[in-house]
Amino acid sequence: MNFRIKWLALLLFAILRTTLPARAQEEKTTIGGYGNAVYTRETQSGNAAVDLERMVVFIGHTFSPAVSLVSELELEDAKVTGGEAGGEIAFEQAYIQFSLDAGHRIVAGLFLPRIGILNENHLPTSFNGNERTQVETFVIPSTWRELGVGFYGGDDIFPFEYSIALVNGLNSSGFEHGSVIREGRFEGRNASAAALAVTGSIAKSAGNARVQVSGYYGGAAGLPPEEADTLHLRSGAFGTPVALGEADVQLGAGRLALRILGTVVSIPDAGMINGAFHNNTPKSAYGAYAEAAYRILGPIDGGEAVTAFLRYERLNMNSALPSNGVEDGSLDQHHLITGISYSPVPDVVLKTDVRFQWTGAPSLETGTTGGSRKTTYFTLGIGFAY
Amino acid sequence: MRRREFIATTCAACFGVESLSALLSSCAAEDVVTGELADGKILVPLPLPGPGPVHVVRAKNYPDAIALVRRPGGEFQAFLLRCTHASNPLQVHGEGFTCSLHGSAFDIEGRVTHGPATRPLQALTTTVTANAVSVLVAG
Repeated sequence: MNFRIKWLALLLFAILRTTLPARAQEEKTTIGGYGNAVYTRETQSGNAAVDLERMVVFIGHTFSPAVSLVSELELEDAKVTGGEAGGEIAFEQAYIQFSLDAGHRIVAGLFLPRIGILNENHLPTSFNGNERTQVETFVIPSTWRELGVGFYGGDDIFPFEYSIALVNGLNSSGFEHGSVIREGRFEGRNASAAALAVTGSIAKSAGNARVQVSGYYGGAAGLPPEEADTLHLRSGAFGTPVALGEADVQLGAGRLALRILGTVVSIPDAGMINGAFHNNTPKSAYGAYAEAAYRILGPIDGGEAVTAFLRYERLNMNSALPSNGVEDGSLDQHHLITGISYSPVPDVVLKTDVRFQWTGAPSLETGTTGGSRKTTYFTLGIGFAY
Repeated sequence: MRRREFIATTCAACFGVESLSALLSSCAAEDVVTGELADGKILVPLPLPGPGPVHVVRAKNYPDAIALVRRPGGEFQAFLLRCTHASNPLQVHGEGFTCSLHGSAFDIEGRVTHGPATRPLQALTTTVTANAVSVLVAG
């Protein structure tokens, strides 16, 4: 095994030595970041909260025109205190990027695979509303970063932008009722490499339109064969698999911007996972949304601006269940979000929006009773990037 | 949803997007051309393919793509397609260029239209001869 790893490392080194362009050193370090704070009030119960949701420091370094480092360090909820709930410090990205030529590059480290719209590009100045979309939070668990190697390309032979990556798999013991696979992400922390995953995307831009399809297929057991057998899980790199497919379209027409996205998650061995970990894992989940945004005031390109948007989201986080699963209607959701944002300068945004949420009947067995089937959230927030 | 259904659904979605992509290709706003790197310059043969004002130039042994923008009157402007915020490669998108890393966007004049980038794209010196455009990339 060690010999194989050494051989692969030597091969990679040889490829990079021969393909990386030789140019004079132009080392440069870049510092940037983004953050947002939000006030949320749930109108039915009167509950209200205010939170500095995240502050992210970006540090990049260009070692040469062909080799660079990208990193983002995030502090969520402003403060981390021992023994108290909330607050998290985590690397959101930390990888080295090798440009092979003008159309192809390799990334290695902790990175965000190209899945959906928000996973790669999640700055608060880039999406409408104070909250990221429900679909790209709970069905696609953005920001979804894992450790691995990715290849990105686009050329005239195959006239699409494309990406393919090999990353560590998921941890099915972490799956939680109500968030599908979200809590099964390792996010670079002591990840099991016994399970692996492949992700890929193809995208085409033309005029002001961009169409993308992306997918993920990976193992979620992440255990040695004996342990997996004991828990009645399928072991191996792609054992106890999770599959995710996604397609999206983004269109711009003058002051109008449209986004449409649909995604499906499939966990065929959900029954085995429930048997092992009792976490009510669904066999499938889906989500879709459509959003229209219109720049009411200000120039189309940058500058002071006022933008209004309307988004409808539909998701069901337990659309199919194994025989040992319990259906929870509160995970079958509709959301209608509308709001307005004001940017005094291009990289600072003040946002206010209202989200109407409708769900199916809560389940007694999953402990989600007591919640209203119709809930309204009002938010007011600020975001920035630099 | 069973694995077979998932694969069928995904294939159907791919087919739909492929069809849409084919439709989009017919109205593509940029063309890719291959240049030759020699003596710190990339030579791009003329005439350029396609009527569009923006051509993406790629050259062997040069790590970045270059946007070659045709101006009225036959002049050319060239920009390094590397984001001025975090040095990430840029893609042609609509009437300009975008960065997938943080969402910065630039117009075909190289100006920032969406942050967090604040500096315009690096402009490269061009020289036009009878049968080629020369883009100075070193110096």
